[in-house]
Amino acid sequence: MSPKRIEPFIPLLSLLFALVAGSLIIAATGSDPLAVWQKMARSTFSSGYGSGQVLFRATTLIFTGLAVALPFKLRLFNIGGEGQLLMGAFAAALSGIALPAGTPALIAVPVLMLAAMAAGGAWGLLAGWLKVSYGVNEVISTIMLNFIALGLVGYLLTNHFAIPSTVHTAEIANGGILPGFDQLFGLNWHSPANLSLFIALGVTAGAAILLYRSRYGYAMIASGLNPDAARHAGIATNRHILGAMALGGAMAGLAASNLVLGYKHWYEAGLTSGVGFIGIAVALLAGANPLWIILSALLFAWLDYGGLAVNTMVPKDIFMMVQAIAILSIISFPAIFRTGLKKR
Amino acid sequence: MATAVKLSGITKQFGHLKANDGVSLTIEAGTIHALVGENGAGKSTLSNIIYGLLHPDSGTMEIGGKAVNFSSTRQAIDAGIGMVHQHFMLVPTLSVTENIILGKEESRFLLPGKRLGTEIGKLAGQHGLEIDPDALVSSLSVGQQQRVEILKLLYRKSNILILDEPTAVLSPPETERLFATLRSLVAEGKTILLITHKLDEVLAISDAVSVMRKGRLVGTVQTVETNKEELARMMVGRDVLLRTDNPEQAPEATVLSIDKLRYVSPQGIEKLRGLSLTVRAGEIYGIAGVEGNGQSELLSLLWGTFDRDGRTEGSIQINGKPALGLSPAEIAGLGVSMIPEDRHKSAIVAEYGIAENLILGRHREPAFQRGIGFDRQAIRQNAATMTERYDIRSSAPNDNPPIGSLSGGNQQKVVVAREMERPDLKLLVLAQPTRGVDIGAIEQIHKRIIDARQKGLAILLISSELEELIALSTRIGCLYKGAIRHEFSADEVRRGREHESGFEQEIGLHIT
Repeated sequence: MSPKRIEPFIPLLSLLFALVAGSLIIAATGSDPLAVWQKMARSTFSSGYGSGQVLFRATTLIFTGLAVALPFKLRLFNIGGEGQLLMGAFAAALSGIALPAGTPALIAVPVLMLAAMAAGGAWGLLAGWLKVSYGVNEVISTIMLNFIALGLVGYLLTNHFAIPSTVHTAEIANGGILPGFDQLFGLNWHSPANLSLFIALGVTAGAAILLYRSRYGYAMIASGLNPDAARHAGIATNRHILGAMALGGAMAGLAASNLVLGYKHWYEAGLTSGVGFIGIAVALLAGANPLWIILSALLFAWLDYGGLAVNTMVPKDIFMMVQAIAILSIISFPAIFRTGLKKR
Repeated sequence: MATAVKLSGITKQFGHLKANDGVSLTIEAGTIHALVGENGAGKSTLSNIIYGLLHPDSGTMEIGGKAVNFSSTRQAIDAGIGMVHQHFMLVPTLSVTENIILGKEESRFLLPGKRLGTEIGKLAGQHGLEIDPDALVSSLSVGQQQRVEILKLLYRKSNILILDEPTAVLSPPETERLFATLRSLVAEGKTILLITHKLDEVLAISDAVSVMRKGRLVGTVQTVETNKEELARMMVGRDVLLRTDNPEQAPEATVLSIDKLRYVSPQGIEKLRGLSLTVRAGEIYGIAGVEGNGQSELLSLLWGTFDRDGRTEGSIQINGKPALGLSPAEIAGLGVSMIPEDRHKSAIVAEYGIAENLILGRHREPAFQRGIGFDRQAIRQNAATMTERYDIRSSAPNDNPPIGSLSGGNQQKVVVAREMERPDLKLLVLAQPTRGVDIGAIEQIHKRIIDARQKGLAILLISSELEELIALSTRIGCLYKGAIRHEFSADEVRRGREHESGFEQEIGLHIT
């Protein structure tokens, strides 16, 4: 088979490879891989609660994956999803608290979501502005902004907004709460999955349209592929850097709709727990293509929650290794096939 | 005479494409053998096979009478073959000496001593390749870097030198110098395989010429027994009009006027020193000059892409409107199109399809828009029209293949089509419009340029090919160190066209 023909199957091949490698590692710890995979499948696919958990986690990862994927089209590496999400989640919680108790959902939900997008977007824009104005590499600035966000939010929470002797804020106004799956579909899953999943799917479709069907996306992708040619074509490449970083930040901020509006209904310390960073992996596995991000997020969510479910049999860390192996192989497989074919 | 290289029935296939199809070729020792052909004719594949980079599917090769079968370049190098690639293979942060001994170090741990530097200096002096052995490669000009590449081969005692398009990056004086070196090397008994598509150079320096077309060797002729027309015909497979018709045309109102333009780069270097010129509707103003005399800066000022940290003085007026300091989009809005010097870097997005590249920079035109996106039907229609009108050839015309998969000449046709068809066009700025383009395609592009002038466009043509300037221009300005040093009037250019080589020399005096 020629390399061109193999290319579409590379994600699948690398996934397969990662699962095989994971099985070997599981076997090496003394457990039966087949039994582990079976238990994982049973506790996710055939359990309402498990499925809900997977969907809930996937929702967050879709947002944080998009946060990496959009700037990636401009060859910008946004490592700041975690910080942007922190800012967004905190902003959403604070606006939810500030809203009067009786605010209807039709107003409260959009207000909270806009607050999350604005805060996350501003945090991303800051990194973009540092790059455009002072040439600061966005990898460095977004990492540093993660620390600043963590410190800032931590300080404000502890000293001003936390309910005494807890690590969380007060609850947001009732109107700002997004219904869970149980309420929406009359289920009995008791899982944290909520309406945000559909918001995530809608936003992903929007991102795909923006990138591949709009003039903005045409100019943005051109700026990423060949900045000099884009400048010659009258495209303001710097403005696209600002735009992409702000959009990416807003995507990360939007994950607050899942965590705050749909799940906790407040902000609490440790709410984000590194999902911003897993977003990088989600975007890489999907080749930064918005539509693939949905599948990629589902996979990572499945390994994440499934790993928890079989915690009694094998350590969860093994599934982190499977995730990492999947990414490593998706990056290296194309090169391996190319050189392998050349040698023949 | 002994045979240096003998190829018999070399075939190499990539996918469905036969890059080399039964090529048999004999190169005599101690000669300069030129290999010519259009882009994609299989010249590079063949030279890579000789150099051991590629392995032929079938066929045999003899070096100095011995059958060889290289599986790596290492073996080819050991057999005395050396290659200077079109894009140099040097480490910019190392010195000349270090680059030359790279891969051929005497000791695994110790750095070269002073002795080696002197030795290399001597080797360089013997062949007219003067260079400072201790200079960092990053501080050298392109011509000097090429000397390092040649020295590398001499240091390795290569007897057969393959040079891939060595003059593409050189100014006329540098080219002369390179040719002198090549002649002295051949006099010592070395054999040179020169890959090029510039027929004048082939006629000037080679002993024999082999012509390739579509993977096959069309024929080998002795240089003294051939001429340009014959070679062009062999390359293209039909008669080629080497000189475009240039009918009379009376220029009209001034479209572009540049007045005492100065530009000081952010590093404080004065790149343009009071450059003034005017271009009128219905004329082609040619700018002759050795590269690096301000052409790039003039273009960037004209198109608004210059580094704004630099300092500008003077004025640029387009149809009476000040244009200096505007953005590219605003300048395009005045009815200006530009074809930049470096197509890959500045004019195309290689991953985008032909249709998308045909609207790059024109994507704001209402005709292509629908909603927040594009009118796909209109863009496809535009691509079909342009493909037909400009004879753009691709492997899959109906699938809108990425432009990166097209040959250089066809990529350039896409750029030319896009820029020439801009609505309400008044001024066309062309920089090296036929660089890296096959002669067949050059002929067409030249015709388009003349047609555009006949339609009343003002055209500014910047080219390093004097022949092209003389053939197309109404007037010619000689650019030297950031200013027009001499201007040939329309009458002078018309008369110059009658005795071309003399006129080329005359221009040459004003640009060096």
